Amino acid sequence: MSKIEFGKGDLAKYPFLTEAGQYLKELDYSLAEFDEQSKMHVIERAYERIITALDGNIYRELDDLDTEVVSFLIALIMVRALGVRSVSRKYSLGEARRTEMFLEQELKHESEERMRAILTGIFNDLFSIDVIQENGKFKVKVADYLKRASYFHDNHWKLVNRTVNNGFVYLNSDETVRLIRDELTLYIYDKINKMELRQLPEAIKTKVNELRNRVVKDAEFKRYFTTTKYPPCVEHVLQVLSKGENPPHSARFLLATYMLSIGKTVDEVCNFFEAAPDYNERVTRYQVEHLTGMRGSGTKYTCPSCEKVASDNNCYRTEECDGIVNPVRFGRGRVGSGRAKPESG
Amino acid sequence: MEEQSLNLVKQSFKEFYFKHSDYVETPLRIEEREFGYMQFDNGMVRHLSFKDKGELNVHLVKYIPSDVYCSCAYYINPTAPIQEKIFKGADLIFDIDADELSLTCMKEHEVWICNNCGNVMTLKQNCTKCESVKIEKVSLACDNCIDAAKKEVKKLVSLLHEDLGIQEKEIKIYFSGNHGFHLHVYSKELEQLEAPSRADIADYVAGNNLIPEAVGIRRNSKSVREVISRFPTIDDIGWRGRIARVLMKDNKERPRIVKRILKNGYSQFKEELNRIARESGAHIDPKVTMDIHRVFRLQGTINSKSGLAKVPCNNIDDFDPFTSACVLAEDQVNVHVRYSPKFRLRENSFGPFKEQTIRLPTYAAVYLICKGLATAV
Repeated sequence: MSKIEFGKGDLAKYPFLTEAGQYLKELDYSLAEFDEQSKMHVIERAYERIITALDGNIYRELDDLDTEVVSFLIALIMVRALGVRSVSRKYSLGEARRTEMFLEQELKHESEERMRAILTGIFNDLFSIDVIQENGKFKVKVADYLKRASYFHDNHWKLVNRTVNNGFVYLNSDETVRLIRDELTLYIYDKINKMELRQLPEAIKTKVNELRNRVVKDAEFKRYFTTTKYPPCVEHVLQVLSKGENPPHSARFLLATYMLSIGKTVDEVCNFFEAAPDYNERVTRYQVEHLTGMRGSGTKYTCPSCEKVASDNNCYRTEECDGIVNPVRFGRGRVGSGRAKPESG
Repeated sequence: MEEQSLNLVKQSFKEFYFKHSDYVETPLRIEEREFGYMQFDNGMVRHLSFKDKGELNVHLVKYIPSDVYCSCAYYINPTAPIQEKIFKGADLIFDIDADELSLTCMKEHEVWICNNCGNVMTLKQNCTKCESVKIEKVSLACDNCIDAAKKEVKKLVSLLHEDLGIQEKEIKIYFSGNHGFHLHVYSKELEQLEAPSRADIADYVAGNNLIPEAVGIRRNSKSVREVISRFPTIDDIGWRGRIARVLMKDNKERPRIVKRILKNGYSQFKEELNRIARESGAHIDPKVTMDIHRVFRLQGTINSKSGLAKVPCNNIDDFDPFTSACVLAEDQVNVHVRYSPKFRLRENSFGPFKEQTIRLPTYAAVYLICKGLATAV
């Protein structure tokens, strides 16, 4: 199949494409050049890209090709040099949303040929999805759709609420693009992790430090709010996770049901699992939602009793646990204290 | 099960696996599957693997399991603990059970057995003999149950074929050996799907979680003209067309239907939609479909809840499970039947029985013993 080439102008919009890397090689940049005053605007632009993403916004600038492609590359280097996983993830998401914005515009307004270039060059080449145009709509194979959309949360994405026929799911242009956002995020995240870091120019190092100060301040602020005291069994699971180890299933179940019981949101509960080596955002979210009854049979799972926690070898009881029968009672009322039980009969 | 009954059932199963090993199907890619079996008196054995049919048959005759299972999944290490098996893919499976269809015939052939003393009752209540609360429902499927389950199978096959594009040759239908049917889908494209995607397919074929927005009705919809532009026609594909065809016979009725929906409001339409979906969708057990690590009853083996076998249905309309799946011996044996409604096996009708000792062919005696309604004497 002959490949439809993207033009150079496209690389400003899609700087993660292989062609952009090729273009950079042609420009023959060396990192040392970034200490020169003339390149400061590119470093500033890279910083802006990152900060915009960390603030949850979309970086909308679309200037000259050089600035966009090179600032993207510098942003990847800076995020890699910072080495904070949550920043890498947020930045990747930000870049993916930017791409999504351009793709949505293009699939609505561009010519057939241009559209084919996008469907082939991005959807098929990068993410192995065959998107077929049919009477102004797009269609993808059921399996390709499910591999992605089953992890989206809105009921609108459930297969039953889509038009499905003869093995294909029909989508409009925005939905087609949304389908690959998560993969785009992962693709960029992967690019960050694969960046080889050599000696960085001072100008970039200074900007990375600036970024670090800002991120650390945010992290401390969060930590201040999350040092609530949990029962020792739950604390233990958190410790295991913080060491980057995989706790057993029963311990994960305990942590998730406990946190949901004390009023944490699905998002907050998912965040606790981020440090696990086998962490998979989609799977974790699905499982946590399952526990809340939002998915599957609709059963809402409650925190296991202390007896069950002990039988699963997850109990690390201290004196403070005396008298409680369920971890959610920790630090609250005790059995036998306070109000008397009503007499039966 | 007391010893004499246990011996009779075991002996009849052993004879079947010894004489009729050809019934037992070799699953595709057998060496990548995990096998498991239930023992009559000693719980479940899992994480087994067989390299071919011969090895499997020897195992069946040697250990005489009460039930035999095989994973729907393909693994790199089928015998390893679950975390280490390494999932390669799985067949898509569906379970349809007549017991779950709320059929009116059920009350004619369902009984309640006390788990404590074995007392058989026709009503759901605490045991009338020992007052135990541990009672269990037992049902002897009738022709009506089977016909109702067949209708669900046909709906399911049509949804899988027309909507999901699964070829009929990729679908194999089996009688489950008790009250229902199992569908196995062998599709390279769907094999890789994980549990959430399978749950989505289960919801699709059952019509669960359909929202009014899918047919253009929004919470704040007021204008009939605006809704009509989004409302489906009877010629539409997928669920939209299916719903339209239940709501109206002709597309000319659309304005009238939309007006009625808007007048009654969003919530009432949501209920109506759920009812339509329940009737048009296939009644399956979603837990079975979404579980990629499930071991599922192996084709051609006997179901210990009935003594009938899980057998293929090549022509669902003509298929008669009471003949095709009734595979045990015919020799006459004596049993004491506590209670049994009328039932049919092969060409013969049996019962009703109540507290009587009778002579029955082995297949009928084992059927009643497996149901917990009789004991060998």
